[in-house]
Amino acid sequence: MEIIIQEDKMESIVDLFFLNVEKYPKKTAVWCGGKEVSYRGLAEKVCSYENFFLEIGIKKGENIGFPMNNSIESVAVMLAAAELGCAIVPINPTLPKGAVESAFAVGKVKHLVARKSFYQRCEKWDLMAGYFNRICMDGIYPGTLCLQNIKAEDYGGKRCQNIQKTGKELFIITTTSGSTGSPKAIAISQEDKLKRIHKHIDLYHLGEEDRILASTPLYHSLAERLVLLPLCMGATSILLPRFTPNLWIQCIEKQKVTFTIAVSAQLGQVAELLSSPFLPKVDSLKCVVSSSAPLEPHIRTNLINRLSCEFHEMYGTSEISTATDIDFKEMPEKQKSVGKALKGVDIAIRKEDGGLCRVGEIGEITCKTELLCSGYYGMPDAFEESCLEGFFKTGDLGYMDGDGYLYYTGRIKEIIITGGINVYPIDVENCVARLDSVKECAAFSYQMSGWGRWWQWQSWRRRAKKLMSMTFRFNAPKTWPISSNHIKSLWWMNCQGTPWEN
Amino acid sequence: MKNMKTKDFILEELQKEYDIEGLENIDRLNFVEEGYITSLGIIQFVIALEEQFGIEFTEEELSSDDFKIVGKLVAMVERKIASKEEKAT
Repeated sequence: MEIIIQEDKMESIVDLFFLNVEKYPKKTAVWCGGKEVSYRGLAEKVCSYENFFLEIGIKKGENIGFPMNNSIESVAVMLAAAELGCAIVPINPTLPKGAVESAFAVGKVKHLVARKSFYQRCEKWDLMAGYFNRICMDGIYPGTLCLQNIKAEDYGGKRCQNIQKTGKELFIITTTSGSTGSPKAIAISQEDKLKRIHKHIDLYHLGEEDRILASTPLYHSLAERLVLLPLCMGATSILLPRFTPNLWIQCIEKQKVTFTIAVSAQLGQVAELLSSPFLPKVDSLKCVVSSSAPLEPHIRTNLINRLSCEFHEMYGTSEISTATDIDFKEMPEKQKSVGKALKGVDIAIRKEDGGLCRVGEIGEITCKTELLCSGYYGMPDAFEESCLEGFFKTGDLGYMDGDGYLYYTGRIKEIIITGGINVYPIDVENCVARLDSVKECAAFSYQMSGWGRWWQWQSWRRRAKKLMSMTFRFNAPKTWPISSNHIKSLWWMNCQGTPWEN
Repeated sequence: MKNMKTKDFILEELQKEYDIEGLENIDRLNFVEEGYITSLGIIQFVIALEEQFGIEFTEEELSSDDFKIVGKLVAMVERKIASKEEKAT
């Protein structure tokens, strides 16, 4: 296979990957669920995909809708899209029809790459039309082009050569709830992604000898980062196809994982298992980082005591990437914080009127950073409104202590205003979680209009009781892999034997 | 044929996000322990099964180990469909 790197070309994620293909052709690039591919093997896939995409008319600047699963092929599609200067619009493949339509409309999706199971649902929803190309990743499906049969030798094993890129091309358009208001599509360019990758390599002292685990879905930015980062360094990406705490621990032991960033909900489940004397040792780990939401204090303490490696927590958002980090073992007295700002990042806590808060005063966390995304796709005004004096308004609440450590207290949108008083859900949750009979909880408000209030309450209560009975039975952390989305979207008190009645 | 349709539907729902690959006996798959369904996904899964087959699971059925194993879940759903049809006649 011929690989050409133009010396005067700006460094890109794909260029870095192909440089590592030259350096480590036989080294494992990606392991996923018992399958693995070498750097050379992955490069062949990327070359074949990118040439195929070009042949069927996918052009630079066009967006590819991508209901993603964790697989080697998904990684190859990402790299192929990057090579062509296309953006992927990753989504959860289990989303209902309305959410798929919304995400793809916001992301201006022109082409679709998906598995058969997704196309089956699209057919039932009558959503097959409207895409210029429909590509099937895992076999033959009527009305789609099959990606499985494409081979690198069909295209001479070469990279696409004549695509001029500046690095500012959009790479990932990810839909999120946004810091305030309605859902927005966060636009991340290739340059943005590469800056974030470099920052994390420096922050956690990563190198080509590392084996880096991604255990969250690839349609989330965390896994995208964890999969691309090793490929830019000549390291190995370990991609967990599905998460359960047992699978996580077994994978770390068998694949000799050295570094991972996991969401706090996952680490909460893992923490329970780590106390078992029958569990395999996870002594290959050099560093574990918790992200996405603050760890509950007892889980944090448990992990600090049980992990023999470095243990960090980070704070950030999709728009700003990682803003702060703390090494718990180095700074035990600051364990309740989410750390100090990274080099090149400024944090300011602001009042509602935009003025700066005092030390210890709770306000909105705003952040000025070189890792800022390229904006909200198709919504420049909304993005401008999200910024103040060069600082991005995260929609999160927190305060700084006198040493510059940030403490996260909740989301602005989640403040419960009752009787003129602001109630922070996290305060309620921490209080309730102290009860022995409570395993997990989340506090949230429910708005009801004056008219039909009683009827709405009864209707909601009946539906809630049914849903609660399901979560009550299933939501036992020891036996059920709990998704972080569950906490945000549907939550009840999970009491042992005492259903929520009020 | 009915048994195949029930199983097909269940496998289709389970594979929305993750392919079930390389299993010698898929009927013995514990889809919970193997991470094919998350705590939020189970609610969608249960609702999908109930709506598709016009059945309703009891609390006991939902909390039983049989519910989490493909072959046993298929048998459970089939029994409930048969019982519903018997009552209708």
